[in-house]
Amino acid sequence: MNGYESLKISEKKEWGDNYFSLFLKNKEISEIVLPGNFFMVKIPSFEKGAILPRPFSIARVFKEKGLFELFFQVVGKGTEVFSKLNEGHSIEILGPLGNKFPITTNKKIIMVAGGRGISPFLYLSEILKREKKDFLLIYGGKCEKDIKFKSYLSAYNTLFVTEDGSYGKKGLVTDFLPKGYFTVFSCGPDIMMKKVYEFYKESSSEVFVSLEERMACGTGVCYGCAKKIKRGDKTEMVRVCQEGPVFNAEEVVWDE
Amino acid sequence: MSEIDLTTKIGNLELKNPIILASGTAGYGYELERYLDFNEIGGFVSKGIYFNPRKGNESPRIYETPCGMLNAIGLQGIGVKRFRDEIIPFWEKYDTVFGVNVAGDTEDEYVKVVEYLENEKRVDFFEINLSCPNVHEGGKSPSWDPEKTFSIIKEIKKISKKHIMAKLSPNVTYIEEIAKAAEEARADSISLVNTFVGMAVDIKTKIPQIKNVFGGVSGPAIKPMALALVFKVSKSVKIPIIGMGGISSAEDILEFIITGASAVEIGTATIIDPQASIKMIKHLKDLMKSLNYKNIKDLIGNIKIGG
Repeated sequence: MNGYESLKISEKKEWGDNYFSLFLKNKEISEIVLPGNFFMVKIPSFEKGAILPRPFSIARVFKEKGLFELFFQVVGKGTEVFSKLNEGHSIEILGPLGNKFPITTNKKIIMVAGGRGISPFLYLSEILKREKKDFLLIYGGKCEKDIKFKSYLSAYNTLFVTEDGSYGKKGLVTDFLPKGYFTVFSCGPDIMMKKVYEFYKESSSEVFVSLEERMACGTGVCYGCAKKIKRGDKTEMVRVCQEGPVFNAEEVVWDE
Repeated sequence: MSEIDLTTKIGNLELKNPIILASGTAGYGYELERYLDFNEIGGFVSKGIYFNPRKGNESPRIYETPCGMLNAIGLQGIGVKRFRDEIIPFWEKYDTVFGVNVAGDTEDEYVKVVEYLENEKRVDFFEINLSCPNVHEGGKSPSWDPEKTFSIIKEIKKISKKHIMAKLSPNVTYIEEIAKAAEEARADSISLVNTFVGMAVDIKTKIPQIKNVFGGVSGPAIKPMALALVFKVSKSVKIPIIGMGGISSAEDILEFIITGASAVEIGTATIIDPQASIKMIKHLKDLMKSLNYKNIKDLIGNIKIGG
């Protein structure tokens, strides 16, 4: 029965502007992990009184090297501790956990990412290209500093957008949504995902979004990470870690 | 020869070791099946069950605090019918003491839940949740009042032949009075403590970190307070005590047992690591060996004051 596993950090990348990547080696994980999945990662030795593990989405996967990447932005105490770790340090991880972005049809796919919401679409782009799917990635941030993975993404059909126009198109990602896509994946701020959903629901596209909520256990025991989800004509508080993090946008209660 | 004996007793309940998974931190059980073998655990208490399904509170429901966490889940739950049909059968295959945490908004509702599940053979005991701070109006819970505590336990005892464990709140002035009220109403044991009422506020937005405003504090931060309350209660009642509050190591378990607990519940530690309880059980044997302790039963309440 697999629980938390201790892995050594093979490599650390500092992207600047509070963005970091940790690369971890584990052949089995790199083979089974799917875009949308996440891991719970424990903070070493209760640093700064932080006791809870933190959820990290999978970023890139390098199967041939048995390597995978966790990409994150420092947003609080936990991510700050992780940002100070270095190559050779050990971290404990549980997973992969959660569901994935579903690729069920041969329809054209669009992925819309805002800021650190790029994570799941890095590996997904590679998979879609391998499977010869027709897809477009739109990736936006406030300014050029928020746009990472430029060279990796140059291999894929990517539209970059920044609010100040310092890289790619000027504006919001939601200003550049093209029609004609019937499978839509999105990850980023709620307000962006909501707009993406509203834009595509008119053309009866299927929209899937990866939701973020404070998480404590990642295993389904604590019911801490619940989001309000429509079920029939009612709403339920649903655990993001168990039934998500990817949800059909139609079920998400946005207006709050 | 020198095999360590971890077995313990809580009234008529015989446990293979003193570690029970606490209500609300281990789901209904099935969530943890991929991480541990329940046959190795002393006991398990389900998530709190109301008669009807409950939606629970809005998010955010949790927030990390120094060496602990705040939660206000609001007893989201599936209600007694689904519990009986879906959860109890799951427990048939495991040999461990199994308890149901019983919740209610009124005295009547507590009784209805017990009534509904009383004939379920797999249920070994009812832990009466007199103390959830997140659901009752103004954060009030019945275990803030000795009379209410007495009355709920008495009504339940009238209709139940099963072991009745009263779970107490630490958010009271004299916990001894509440414990005595439960004992007078013929509770078979007392479990304590539930979470401490707490809150946290985002200084930028000025919005409380928990949607419910108040939450319950758990985790290592509350351990010294919980231990003191276990000690006080153990000195004021004769029925067995199940201690809990921030236990995260085998050392912590022994500390509670020596202070007066016949068994312990592990809560937040399971949230941090689904296998925490199993790891503690393994370590407990080694720890006892190194301290020359032979069995748990001899250590219960064996505290030396002024010694």
